[in-house]
Amino acid sequence: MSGFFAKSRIIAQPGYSRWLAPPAALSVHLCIGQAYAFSVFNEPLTRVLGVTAPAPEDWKLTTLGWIFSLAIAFLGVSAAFGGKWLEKVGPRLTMCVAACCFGGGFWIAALGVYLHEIWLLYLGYGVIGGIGLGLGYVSPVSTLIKWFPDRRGMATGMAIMGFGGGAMIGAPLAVWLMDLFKSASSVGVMETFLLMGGLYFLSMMIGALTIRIPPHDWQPEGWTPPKLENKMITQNHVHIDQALKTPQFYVLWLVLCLNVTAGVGVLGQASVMIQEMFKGRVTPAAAAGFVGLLSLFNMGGRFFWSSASDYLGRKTTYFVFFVVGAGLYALVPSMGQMGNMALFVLLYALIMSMYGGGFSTIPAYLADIFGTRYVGGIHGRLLTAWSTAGVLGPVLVNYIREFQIGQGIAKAEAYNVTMYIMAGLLVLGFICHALIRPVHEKHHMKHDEFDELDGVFPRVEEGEAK
Amino acid sequence: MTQAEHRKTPVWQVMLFWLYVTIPLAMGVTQTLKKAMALFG
Repeated sequence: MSGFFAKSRIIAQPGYSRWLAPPAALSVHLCIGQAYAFSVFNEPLTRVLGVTAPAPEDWKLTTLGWIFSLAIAFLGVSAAFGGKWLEKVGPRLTMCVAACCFGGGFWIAALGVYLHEIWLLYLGYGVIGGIGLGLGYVSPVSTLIKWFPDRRGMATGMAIMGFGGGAMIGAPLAVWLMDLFKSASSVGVMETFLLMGGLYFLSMMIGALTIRIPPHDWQPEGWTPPKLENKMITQNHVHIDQALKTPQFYVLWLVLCLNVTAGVGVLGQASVMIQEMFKGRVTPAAAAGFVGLLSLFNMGGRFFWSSASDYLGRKTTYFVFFVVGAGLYALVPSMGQMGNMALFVLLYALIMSMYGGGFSTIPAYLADIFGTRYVGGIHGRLLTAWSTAGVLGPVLVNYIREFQIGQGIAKAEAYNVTMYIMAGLLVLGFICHALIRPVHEKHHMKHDEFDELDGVFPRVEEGEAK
Repeated sequence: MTQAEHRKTPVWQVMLFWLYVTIPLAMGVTQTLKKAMALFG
């Protein structure tokens, strides 16, 4: 590819500060993280026609729930399929397409609200917006790892923390805009969609236009790659397609899936759980505050744990998630029975920090295992584990809870078994994780010209840099 | 052209870019913390 979007056009000139790369990545991740706050639109969308109260022809919450589900499903699909394309074209074009999809998705959804056609919301925010989410999520990851070979975990943690923090910006912004635009004839959602689509498009484009990739074989000043002391950090590279032929990919897929299943399952019911376990002590407003606090720990954990993994090692960090995490899950019911709300909140917050940490540590883990060259694409494919867990977690938790209540167990106690089963999932994750070994050398790329051989990833010469 | 002859990214440019992403994030975090206060009365 040549021209403005060519990879060769975004190779950094000497003197470029690598510290410009994380905010460029954050410009994208803080936008797409808005997806976690989509639920703020649900209630106003149920009264688009009735305005003050839902009219009979208005959309039902169950109908609207599919918008978010579609977006997450297409996030996984586009990350899996777009990853290879990302490695070919580079982060600028990928981020531009992500900006067009995410911003454009909002605009199509706005048209859907205007025409009151639900399929336009499914197509706009769900399908097209979801593709923007997936491409935006994976686009800066390999670039950051290449800029920060000395602190891979911290670098990816910064970007992925943005995805966790995006909802904290998106939710209040959406509520404020809907209040601003609402009138006697409108709930203000259409106008909010239009404006937010524009703002997100611009912000993501700023990231796309400022991102730069390091020159071939670039290294931070004064840093030399550590000698091969740790067998779990390879100096070789595994091709994106070859990675799928290694057992390590599938074990890491399971590790991520189990960690996320447990986290997403309890996160979804956090609000109801605290209200039922501490009946009379926690109001709905306080429960909403609890969920907000968990989001903060989820976000902070993304940065903290991935940065810590640079020092602890990726394997040790995941062992902490599984061993300490399983213990914390198992302790939550006891805290509920003891009526100790402060400890209950603390345990839950720590669990959420590890849930976030699982997401943000995985790209650096992949770079350690498979090398840095195709880590963006491999990460994209691994994210199907997230989509799977996104469905599995809530279904599992809701099914267990309903079964318990059906057996005549009190609502407040119905969560106990759920938490023990989630702890069990983490034990399973621990066993899977213990099986991870370095990739066999037969999977390593043999020489630098490999890219030219398959004709997919042409090498970029420094002389072409603009 | 040697590396030294290339213009280094000015620090203010790096700081400005960081402020651009951290200010809205800090505002979001503050809002969330305010909500979370309801949990502790």
